[in-house]
Amino acid sequence: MKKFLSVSLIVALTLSLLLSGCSKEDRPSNAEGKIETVVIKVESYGSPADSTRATNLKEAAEELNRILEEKGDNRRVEVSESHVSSGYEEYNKKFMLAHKSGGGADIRAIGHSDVAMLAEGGYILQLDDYVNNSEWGKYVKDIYPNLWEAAKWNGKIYGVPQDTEVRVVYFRKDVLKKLGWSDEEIASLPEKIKNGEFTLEDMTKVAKEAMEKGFVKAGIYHRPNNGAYFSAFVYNFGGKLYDENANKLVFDRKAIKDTLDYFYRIAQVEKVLPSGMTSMEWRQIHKDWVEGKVLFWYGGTWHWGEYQKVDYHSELGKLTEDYMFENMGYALVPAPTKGGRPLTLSSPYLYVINSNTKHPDLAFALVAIASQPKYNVKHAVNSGHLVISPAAAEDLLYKENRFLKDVQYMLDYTTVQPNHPEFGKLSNALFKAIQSVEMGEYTPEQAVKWLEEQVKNDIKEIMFVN
Amino acid sequence: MPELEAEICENVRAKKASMEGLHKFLKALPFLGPFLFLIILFYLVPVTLTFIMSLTSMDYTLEWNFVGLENFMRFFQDSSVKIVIFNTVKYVVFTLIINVGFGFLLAIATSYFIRNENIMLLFQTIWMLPRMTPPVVYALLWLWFLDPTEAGMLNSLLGKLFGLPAQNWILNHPMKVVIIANGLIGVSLAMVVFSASIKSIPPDYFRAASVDGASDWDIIRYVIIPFLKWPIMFMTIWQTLSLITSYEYILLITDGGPLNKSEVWSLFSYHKAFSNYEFGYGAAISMVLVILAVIIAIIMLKVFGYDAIMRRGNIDSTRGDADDKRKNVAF
Repeated sequence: MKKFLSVSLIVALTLSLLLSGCSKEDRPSNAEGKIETVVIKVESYGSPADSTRATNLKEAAEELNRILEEKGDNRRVEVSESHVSSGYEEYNKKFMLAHKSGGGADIRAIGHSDVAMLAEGGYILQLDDYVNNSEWGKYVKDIYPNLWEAAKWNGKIYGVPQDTEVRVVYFRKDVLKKLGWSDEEIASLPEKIKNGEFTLEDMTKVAKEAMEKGFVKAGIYHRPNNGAYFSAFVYNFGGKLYDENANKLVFDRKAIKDTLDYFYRIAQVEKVLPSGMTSMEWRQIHKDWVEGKVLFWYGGTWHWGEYQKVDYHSELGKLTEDYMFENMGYALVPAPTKGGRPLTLSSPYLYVINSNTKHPDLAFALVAIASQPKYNVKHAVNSGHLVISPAAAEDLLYKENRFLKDVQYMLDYTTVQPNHPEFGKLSNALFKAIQSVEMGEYTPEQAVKWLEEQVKNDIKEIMFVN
Repeated sequence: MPELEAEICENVRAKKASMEGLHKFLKALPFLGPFLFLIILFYLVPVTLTFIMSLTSMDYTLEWNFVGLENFMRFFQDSSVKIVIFNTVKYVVFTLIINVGFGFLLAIATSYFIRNENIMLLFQTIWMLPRMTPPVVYALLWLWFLDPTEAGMLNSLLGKLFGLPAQNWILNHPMKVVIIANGLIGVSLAMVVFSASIKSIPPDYFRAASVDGASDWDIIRYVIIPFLKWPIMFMTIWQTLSLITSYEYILLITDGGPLNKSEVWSLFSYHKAFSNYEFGYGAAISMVLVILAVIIAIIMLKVFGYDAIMRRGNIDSTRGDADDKRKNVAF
């Protein structure tokens, strides 16, 4: 019995020692008091080049810990980060389900168009008080006002802008040269688009010529699945998708019909876009583009960074920036009519804070510190994104980046998707309608009718105009 | 008095019978218990929750706001439902034909024509591979095989052999692709069940048929098929019910598209719930499917004679009653 008791005691002591060693919440430290280690979970989404969305916070934690130490705060932050590169819907779903059982990452990077849904669902914290009244507010005061607008829902701030980008039309300089364009003509194309001298129709004509002469296998590529780019076309044809005053989504029949006409024309009439574009694999699209098999590519500024980091080219592997400048150009989305105003669309990423977090002040502090130019510029330069503040735009590293400097003007032409909880349904249905006309399954008229039926069925309140 | 005695006796007998019944049930409980528990946990509880959810307007907020039968009304007015039902019927019928029909042919080939056990095992193992492959990998293999560019395996094969241009198989023939992909998975189960049944047919029947001058076709027609009546019925019921509720391969290969061309009922429910975050409406769509599946199951069991399947041994041993065998072998 005595032996049993002594063995039990030793086992209990060993276990307690082991367990206390494993604890992350409370670790004995210096003589002044106990240091509390707070683990902040961070999750971000984006291409592999966007992983700085999460790693920047890890680096910011070091700075935050120094500040906390100076302040005499005995808490120390440890960041546990994860970066996801595929399945954005899954990324959101996992969080929503985890949140309902009291969990979920403390800080998340999300596309701004999900703010309304997550805010209305009570998943994320309202941040006005932290931004305006906390000691950490000074780090985020400088952020561009239009980016703050993208972070709001019902007039309240729910996220801190993390980066922004613009969608561009990339074009192959080498192919244009083969078509007989001079270097000057090629160099002036972005300016011509900006001035409304080169329209969508011109773009289609050049694409067709390149295909007919056998220089490329496709004239135009766009993304294969639903995404923000398609909203830009509705805007480009003069439409709108949201009425701020009524806080309702808008179904603009004429602009949607024009959008569908455009995709029908390029896929079914001129055949410069593969009719099976929406079933192509991402990798194949990137491969064709970097290998010069496509003349125009509706891509984004982030792809500039991606092509330098991912092996898409079967011979060159990762592209060098010099190769890209030599062979690729970028411009706004051309206007549909001569003299029209071209545009682009931005989908700013935001850091949002889980309403379940036990340490909202530390989570916000971390986000605020990571918004400083030194972190933001690093992310922008590495991933082909644009910075969030004028101070960051003045950073030497950023200013020296030729590509980012070149595309900075596009922010003057940018638009954003609506922040509305049901916008995803409209956007999904619009994509399906585009797919149907590209395949030749529906005419644009039939597709509009189909789309109208879908949104009437799926969306509670939507305004029909035109 | 004798009447009273008789009444008492009757009561005692009834009590005894009910005690015996209880005793019998308690004896069976350890055997039935785990399965009852699993059925309650994995079927009754989810069905009940789905039903309750179907009466709510649960959306991205995940709140239980009761709206009565609103979701069911919406379902019957939804313009997509017609095509979804049509797709589901097409998918179930044609996949079933591949599952059961091709499974039967494979079973005949590997268990009747191939006498060598090792070769039979090798063939059966090859056909089991799709079932052993994780669904995501299996779907990816199909996507690579049917890649719409010249680099796609099927396109490059057809290009080299016949000089055909590259085709977009998934976009142009989405339903055919999902039917074939799903059909080939289900084939292995039917093959195994039918092979086992063929192997358990007493060899005397084959010998007797051969002696009587029956050809292979006659043996299949008059010996094997009658013996396989029950396994074929079982597989048909089983696969029908599985197919009605399956969607994972369709989700991975076509995601119900293009448009709604390969959208089946269960995938429609999934999309409403998890893409549109309309959990209440998605649950209502599922509930209608559950009710329909139960009705189909009852009809099939009635038509195929569930009682008969349960009552009679489908294959007797060689020592069994010859009359029984004759009853089973309905020429």
